[in-house]
Amino acid sequence: MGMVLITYTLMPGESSEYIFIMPAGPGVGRPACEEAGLAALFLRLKPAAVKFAASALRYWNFSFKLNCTREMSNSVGGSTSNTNSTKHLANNSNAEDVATSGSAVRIGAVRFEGVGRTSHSLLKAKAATLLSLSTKLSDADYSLADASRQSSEKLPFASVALEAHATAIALRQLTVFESVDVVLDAPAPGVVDVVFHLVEKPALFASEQLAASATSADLSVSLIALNPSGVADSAAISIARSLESSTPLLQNGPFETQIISNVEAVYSRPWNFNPEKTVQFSAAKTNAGVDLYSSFIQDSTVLAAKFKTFDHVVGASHQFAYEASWRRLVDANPNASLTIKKDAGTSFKSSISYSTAIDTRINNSILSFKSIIEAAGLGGDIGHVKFTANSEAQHFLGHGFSVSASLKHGLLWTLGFGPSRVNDRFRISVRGFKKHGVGPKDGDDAIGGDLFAIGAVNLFTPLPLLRHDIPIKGHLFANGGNLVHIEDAKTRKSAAQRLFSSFSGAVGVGISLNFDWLQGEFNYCLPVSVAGGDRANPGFQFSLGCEFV
Amino acid sequence: MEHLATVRQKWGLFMEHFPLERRAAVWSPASHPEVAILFIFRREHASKSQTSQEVLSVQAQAILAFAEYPHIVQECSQPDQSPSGHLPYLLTTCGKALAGREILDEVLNTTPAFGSHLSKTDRADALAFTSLGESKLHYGLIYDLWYNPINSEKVAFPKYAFENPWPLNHILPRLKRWEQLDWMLTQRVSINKDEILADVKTALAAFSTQLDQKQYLFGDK
Repeated sequence: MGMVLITYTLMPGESSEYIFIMPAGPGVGRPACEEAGLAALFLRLKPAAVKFAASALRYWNFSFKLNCTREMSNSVGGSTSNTNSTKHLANNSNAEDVATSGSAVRIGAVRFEGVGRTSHSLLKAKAATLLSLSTKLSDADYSLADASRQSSEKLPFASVALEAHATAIALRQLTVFESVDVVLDAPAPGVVDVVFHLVEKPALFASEQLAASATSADLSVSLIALNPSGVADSAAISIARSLESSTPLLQNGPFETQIISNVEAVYSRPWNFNPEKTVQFSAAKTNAGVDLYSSFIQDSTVLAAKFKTFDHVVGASHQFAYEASWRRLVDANPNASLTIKKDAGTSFKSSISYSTAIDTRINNSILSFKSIIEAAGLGGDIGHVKFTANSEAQHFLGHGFSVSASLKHGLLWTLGFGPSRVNDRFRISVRGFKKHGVGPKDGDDAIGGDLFAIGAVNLFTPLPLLRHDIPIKGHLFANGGNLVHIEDAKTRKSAAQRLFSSFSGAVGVGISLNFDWLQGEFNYCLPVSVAGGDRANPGFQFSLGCEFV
Repeated sequence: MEHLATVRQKWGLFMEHFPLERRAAVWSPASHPEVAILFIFRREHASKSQTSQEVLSVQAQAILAFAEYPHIVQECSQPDQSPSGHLPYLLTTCGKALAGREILDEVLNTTPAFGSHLSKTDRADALAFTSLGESKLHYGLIYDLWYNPINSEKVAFPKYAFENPWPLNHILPRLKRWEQLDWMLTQRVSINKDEILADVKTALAAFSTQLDQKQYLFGDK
């Protein structure tokens, strides 16, 4: 029997509601079509279904093209039966019946070809609906209880094609396949075999990330094993090193450095084969030097378990996590301040956290909101509730102009476990100031704070000689923030007042790059409001980050 | 070039206006202690005993007490607060943290006459007995407390795990044990129980004889 290759083409932006199914290849498809009675067939889907399919498939980088009846008849050519079928369906005015149109067929078999590491249980779970309708499943148990129902159950061809298509999308969403192609074979009249051609992604690959600024360089290398157990899981080991200097890297002269090194192993897998629900376990060992700003080094060992899910009601991602971390804070500088020395030593934090992120687009605006709340005190000697929220809004004004505003704030409340520790407190960075340059200081050491707020307003403009769609823009900004330390119940009452009584702020102008693989800024900053102890940094600042896979 | 210099000058004059506002600091740190604070390893019973359970802390307490160096004593369970990573450490009124030999130097700088009443013979005896105590008695104590697995589990671990939550109360004492064993191997080539206990016996006999003959270990007042 010949093979009928069903290809879907759906072009973004076109309003046609038809999906064109055509025979594959000259001299192969058409005879098969005629024998099986599966001539060119039009499926008219409801608009909502088309849009959903278009957006989902576009996300996974399929390219689709919608063709109308007239184009199909021109391309198929002189086959009489095809033309007759075309004309028949073009004249079909009962649009709602098209989804149920086509010959009534029985699903003979569901086959998966090209399977290497992927487990059969995963494939069965994803093709559950098709399998329940088939009479025979290769490599599976044949259920006598279903046989009597299946043997007499016939379905319109269109619904079989749609179900096969939905299964292909579900498999593609697992991100372990390079491609998922669907073939509907006709081994006998009235019988359709659904064949999935799978190409699995490589088992092992590496990714590198490099970021640099005037005073720092970060390098991260990850080795990732994809689908090692065959259930669309992944295991990764990453090593990251970050070097930060007290003076610009390209400047000659004496300098001090701090180094952050991190080794992390992460294992994640979908929950119940659903890629929108993921379970993740990780172990990390970090040696983080903050000696340039706060005269201490923190050595930490962290074990974490996370559950991530996506909520389609509001379009938000959620994460629930438990984390156990053993931290050891040592003061690297013999001249470290008393505030830092007091918090030196070991501590154990056992905490649960919930974080959510929402990104949405309304007309010409992009809105995003992220928040995380952490409660520590389930064991260990650290007890607090820590909350951080980050809101951003970007509005496109047209002609390459856009404006954005952001607000970030957070609170650390120790719940009577004594004052907070320097390695738990917030430290903020504001453009126009050195890193961690805003907030409470003890001598030269930034000791962090328990309550903070940072706001920024940005205007992005097109640049001369560059097209508006190129993500290199002029950048004007104004930003400011404040960070206060809460030592006891008395200072907690006045903390909010102190926070909003004044902000340390700066304005500036520059250029921003926002490619998918490369992001950076180059600005000239001018501090306008400075508090005692703040480390203002007027002048040029740049940062650059790129990712290689 | 002149034009460039003019521009630079004008830019400098413009920049002198910034920042537009200067405010007071958002927070002021606590001032330095009025009296020096000696941080020691915890005592057996804080209300009943005065001396620490750890040898080096007791040494420092003794030095500061005999030198009449003005100080108060506080217990500390975090050796990382010390500049040397080991307790005890002394926080002076200048806000400086001193550890190890620096504590003795600080006492001698503050009290130059400390120990001046000892004769040459007393000084020689002091040196000899101090060396005996450090090389034999201290070593024997560390051996008995940490090398012996039963002693370490029942005596040493509870002391060092006292203020740590689970699981640090299991991990940290064991790390401390490895640290002590490493130290012991830096002092002697091999750890021989009979040899160590014989040395301890000899040292104790010498101390006993000295105290038998004199009212005080060193000096007469």
